[in-house]
Amino acid sequence: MPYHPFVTRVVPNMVMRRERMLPIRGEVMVGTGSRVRPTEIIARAVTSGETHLLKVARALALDGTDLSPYLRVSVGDSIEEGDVLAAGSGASRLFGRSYRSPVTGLVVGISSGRVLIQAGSSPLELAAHYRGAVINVMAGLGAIIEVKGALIQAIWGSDKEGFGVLKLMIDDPAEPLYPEAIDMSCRGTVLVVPSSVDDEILHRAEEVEVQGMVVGSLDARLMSVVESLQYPVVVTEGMGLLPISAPVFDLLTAYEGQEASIRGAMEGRGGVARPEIVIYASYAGGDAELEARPEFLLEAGSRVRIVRGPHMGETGTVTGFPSYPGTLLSGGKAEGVEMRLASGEEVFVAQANVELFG
Amino acid sequence: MEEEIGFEPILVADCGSTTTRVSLIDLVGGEFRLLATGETATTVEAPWSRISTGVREAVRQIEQSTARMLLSGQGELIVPEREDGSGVDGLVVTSNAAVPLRVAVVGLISGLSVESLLKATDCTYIAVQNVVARDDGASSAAAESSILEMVRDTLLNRPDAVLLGGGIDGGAVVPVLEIARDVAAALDASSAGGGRVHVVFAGNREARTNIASELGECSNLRVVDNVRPTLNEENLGAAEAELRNLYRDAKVGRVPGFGELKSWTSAPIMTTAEGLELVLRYLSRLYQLDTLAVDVGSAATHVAGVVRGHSGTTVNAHAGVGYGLGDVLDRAGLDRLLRWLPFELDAEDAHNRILNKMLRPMTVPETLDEVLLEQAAAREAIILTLQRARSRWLSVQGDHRGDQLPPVDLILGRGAVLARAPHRGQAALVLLDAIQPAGVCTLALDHSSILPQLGALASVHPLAAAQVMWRDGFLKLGTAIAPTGVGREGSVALKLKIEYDDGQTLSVEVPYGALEVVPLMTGKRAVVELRPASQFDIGLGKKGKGATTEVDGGELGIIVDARGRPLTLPGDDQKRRAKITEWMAELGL
Repeated sequence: MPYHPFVTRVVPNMVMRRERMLPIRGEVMVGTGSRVRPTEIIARAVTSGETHLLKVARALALDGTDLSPYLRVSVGDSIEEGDVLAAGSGASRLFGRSYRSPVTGLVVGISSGRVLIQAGSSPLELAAHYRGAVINVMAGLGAIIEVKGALIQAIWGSDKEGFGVLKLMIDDPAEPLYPEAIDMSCRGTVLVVPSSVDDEILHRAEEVEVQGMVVGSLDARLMSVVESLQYPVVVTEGMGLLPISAPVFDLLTAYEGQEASIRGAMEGRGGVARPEIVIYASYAGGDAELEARPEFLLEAGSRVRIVRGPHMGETGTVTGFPSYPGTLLSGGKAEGVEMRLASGEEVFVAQANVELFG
Repeated sequence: MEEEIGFEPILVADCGSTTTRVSLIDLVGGEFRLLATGETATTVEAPWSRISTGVREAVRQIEQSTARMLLSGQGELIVPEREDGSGVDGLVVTSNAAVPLRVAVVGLISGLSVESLLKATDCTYIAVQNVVARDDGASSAAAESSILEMVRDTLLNRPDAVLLGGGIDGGAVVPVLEIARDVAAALDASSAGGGRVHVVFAGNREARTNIASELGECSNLRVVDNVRPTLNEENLGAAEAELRNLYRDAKVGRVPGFGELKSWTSAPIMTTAEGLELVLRYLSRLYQLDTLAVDVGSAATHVAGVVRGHSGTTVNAHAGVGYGLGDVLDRAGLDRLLRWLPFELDAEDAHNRILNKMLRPMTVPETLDEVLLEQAAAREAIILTLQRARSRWLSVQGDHRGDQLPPVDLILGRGAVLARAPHRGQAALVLLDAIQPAGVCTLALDHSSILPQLGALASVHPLAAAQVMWRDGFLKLGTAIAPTGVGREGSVALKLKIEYDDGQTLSVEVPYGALEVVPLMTGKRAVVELRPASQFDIGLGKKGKGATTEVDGGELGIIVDARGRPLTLPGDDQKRRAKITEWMAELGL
């Protein structure tokens, strides 16, 4: 029976489109058709520190809230502390009275007798993050970049981005990584640590200024440490002690030494963003796959990994679909699949607990 | 009722945040019955990004199990039913697959308008982004700071809607107008973000014209009845209706694939919460029952009820046992969650497991440990939601017994964590632990996960909805008898004399601190004489007062919960685990 499972894309050659957007309105500096590099700045904006809501009409004791006859500034103006925001002139009944800004900043709004000022503004730059071609520009907001490369989707990540050469730290996912293995040769690279990591490894990698880290799993108590680091960390399997699964590890191994963009940002429910690694490498195995596919069905022969229960983290192939719900170890019943694990063992797993590699 | 003639078979669907279920209803022997159900993952997110894909898949499962053709070769639902028996006459859908509506609540006084506005946000799937009280009672600096925070958040991350109120009808206009101007300034400055923010004004009626001139240009303004027309009166209906409309329009209606799904349906798509509330009101009216339902979902937990004629609802849009686990963990804390386990579980291991479930909310527990951990989270999700419900509506006037729940006749549990529990006793224990009912009530489950859909079906086919509800809608777990009070561990809290309908009698003494199950099969009734000890009340409002009542049987029978109210778990880890193990054993677990 076909079933729509959770899908993790692990694809050696794919054409994908990625939206790069400013968090606030600004200026986009690339045009449609531009080729961009990951570190290239494609858009700029000005962010602010504190917001000040100045009740100017009330301070000037105006009858209404229409400030327009008295305004000396407009939206978008940069102002200094003490600059006059509104004042009377000529025969105005406000003659001689004025309202001066208590802060230095940017006028972002004038409405209902109020002037909104954002103080402590600082420039915000948006890098392309991907290597590819701009196929669409949204004026003032961002661009869509078409990218060709390998894609590996992860399950969790810290909200940062990086770009560098993939460096595999251990050949065997079952082997632990020792902190001393991280030396200056790792600087500027995206480290692949097939097993899990500890606090010392994470900080050592920060010291040598890595651009990112791909790990199989992470202990939940290290999440806050990871979030405080300068570089992104993405987790391919889940929380706990799980090695990177074979299909993911094989692809990372095949592309060791190639450049990769790594992004930890994740958008939950209803969102489309998962943490990911995009690797730029030439591929001789055929045409690039398109990201959108009409169907991802769980079928006999599907390559899957188990994401819950006693076999969590193991991978294998679906061999059959029992006609009736099976009994789980808990005593509960669930629709399930029969699968052959990489070890050769045959197991029954709840259908909802297998994830399709697609 | 004429339009109902020939309106069968019917499909009813519920698209939850992780699971989509579709059920086929048809006439069997002159009565509407639930014939088959298909279930699959909800397909709102990538790579599917089409809610109708999951519904179609669940319908295909029904096709296979019933050998009926319901979809055309192109995958379209066949409506109406054809002469060859293929297709259905209609599809009715409920859904809570959309993300919550982000709302900023802006009012004048914390204890008045703001409190009422917040109550109104409980009516549907809403995430309150900001709460602004112009006069928060603490300090004007705090009020000013909450206004600035709202302005800042509006600039950075505009809410979907602002719920604005303040002032009693006929009261001063200026205060609410001033705060409306703050909102207008923020919305005006953020208008470059695209689209207009919805503003629902539910404040002083006299301020409407001024509010319209301040906010009419920079927002989609909707004006409804004041939530606080007088100091002593609260009127939430109009504000709630508008928020429900907004959620449906701005969130449910924008779920990818919604258009296709809508084109198949015979009635407007209702939220899951609305469907369940309709069923509860129907039950309460028809059988004169005080009812309480808890729906523990992946993303949200919903408590709804009708108690002594007052209906209420609290949708906790962030607390659940999947997507919503993070909120439960943050608010309750890991220790409170782990206290419900009968075994020791390393905190780090538990934390990892909880996060993994959050990252992959569609997964199901395969081992007993995983089941019990998920049920522990369900308890805390219910407790958190009940706390909010108690503070807002679930304390009927006249009842001032602290955290105690007003007596109800029926407690209904739904959500996969309860309905799919490997053992019914586990579901009963979750309900008893988390809700802590007092007195005598029936415990039941929406085991077919169909009640909200029947609420929606009732608008187009009340007869079918009523018949399926009656025959297939509930699974009775049994009757819970829970005396309130505190006694000495092991001393008798309640004596019962049970007279079965075959004339046999059974006398039972239940000690304080114990759970005891007395057999009474589904469909059977028994007369029970209750004689509480002098320090216990069986729901009559008087300690030591006895009564005789007739009770229903169920899958478990009569469950006497003499653990006292409020339920206090032993502080010592080993003793607590031993107690929980003892209670579970009594329920056959």
